Amino acid sequence: MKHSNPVLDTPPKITLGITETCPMRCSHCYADCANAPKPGELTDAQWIPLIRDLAENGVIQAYFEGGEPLAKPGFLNILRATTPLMMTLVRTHGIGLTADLAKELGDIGLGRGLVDLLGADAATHDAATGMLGSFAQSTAAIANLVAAGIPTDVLVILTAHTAPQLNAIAQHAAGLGAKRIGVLRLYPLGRARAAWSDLALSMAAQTQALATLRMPKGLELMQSWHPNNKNCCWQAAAINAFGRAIGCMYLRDYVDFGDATKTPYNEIFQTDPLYRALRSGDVEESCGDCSGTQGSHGGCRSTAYAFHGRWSAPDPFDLTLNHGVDLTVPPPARAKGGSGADHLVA
Amino acid sequence: MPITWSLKPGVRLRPIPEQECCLAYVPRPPALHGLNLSSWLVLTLCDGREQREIGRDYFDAVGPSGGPGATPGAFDSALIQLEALGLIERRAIEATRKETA
Repeated sequence: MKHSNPVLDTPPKITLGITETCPMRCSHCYADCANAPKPGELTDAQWIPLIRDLAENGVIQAYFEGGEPLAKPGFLNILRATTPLMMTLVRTHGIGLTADLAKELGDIGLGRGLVDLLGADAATHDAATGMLGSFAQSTAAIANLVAAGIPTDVLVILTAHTAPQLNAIAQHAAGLGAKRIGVLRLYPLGRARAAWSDLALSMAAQTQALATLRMPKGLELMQSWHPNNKNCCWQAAAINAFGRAIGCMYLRDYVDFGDATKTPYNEIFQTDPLYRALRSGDVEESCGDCSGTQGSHGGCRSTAYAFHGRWSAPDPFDLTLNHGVDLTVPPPARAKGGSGADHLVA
Repeated sequence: MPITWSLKPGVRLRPIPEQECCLAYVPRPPALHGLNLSSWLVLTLCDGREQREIGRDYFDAVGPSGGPGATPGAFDSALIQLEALGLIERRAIEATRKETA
């Protein structure tokens, strides 16, 4: 059956994986971050004209993530150049996000902060980040952003370590004044794939963790499991730390659509065959409930490809499309390919 | 007293005609809003003219459609919502004349 996602001619929103630098050593790090910027990362002097060009060509929202954006040299310069042009969101672990820095971010015009928590207590969180004191800093960062008047979300990746603490994390987030909590799936990317057996939950365990989540009053839940599993690709745009167009940060290990510093992003968006195929929604199977709520088909293309090796495969994180895939077994490594129709399934 | 309506300084629009909507970014305080076709049309018409002129053009555009945007209260409601979102600003004409005198 032929399925079709909504269509965009050019992307209005983009994710910028601004750096693969981070002071922490998270066991699940998708970017395999290092303490210092990696060779080839774009500098702030390179990012700023790229962002201005994106704005001139219709991008009106930038979501900064990393790595740790706040560890990027010149990041505040980048943010200052972006906020007059676009809505901005920054995903951070909050290390060094003091009250003064939060106020500066507010003065610059940051639109929203998103802070990762990897546990409801220091023992769990610090063990996951490999950095003593990081829970205290992340907690302070949430409070500081809220105090600075910046709408703030807490993000938690659902793992074997966070699932038992999900309710406590939600309570903690609400107590700090967060607006929303986003519960995210674990992706087999970077160091997370190597640590998969320690981190991953079965489909049943994931479903159980979400079913037992009791949201504190005033805290909004964002989650994308069935029946909210969407295929975001139709509107996805992303550039990694090295200026490469990759469509979505969760495709970081699998695709390279080209150099966004040399080719206009809109041209890549409109012409790359694999990018176009991923956005199309032409998948082997679609969950009726999820397509009904999300308007897109087949669920996440990253996890579909990771577990099946086919771009058009069903997303095994969807309850109705899982078909017996054991999500606790790490998927095989997939070679990073270039763009092109060779990735497509006949 | 007659009033005029204008886009607030700094507001940026991102039309998405293929999805029949428009995104509107307000830098201070930062917010991104999604507008339907009716609100998008009203916003586009707020170019510093008087409300009655904007309204006339609005109903000229939507009248034949007979849709919910063509009801008498739809235009006023859209103006109020766009103002509340920080996307447009009103100015009383008499006050404007005094300011410039």
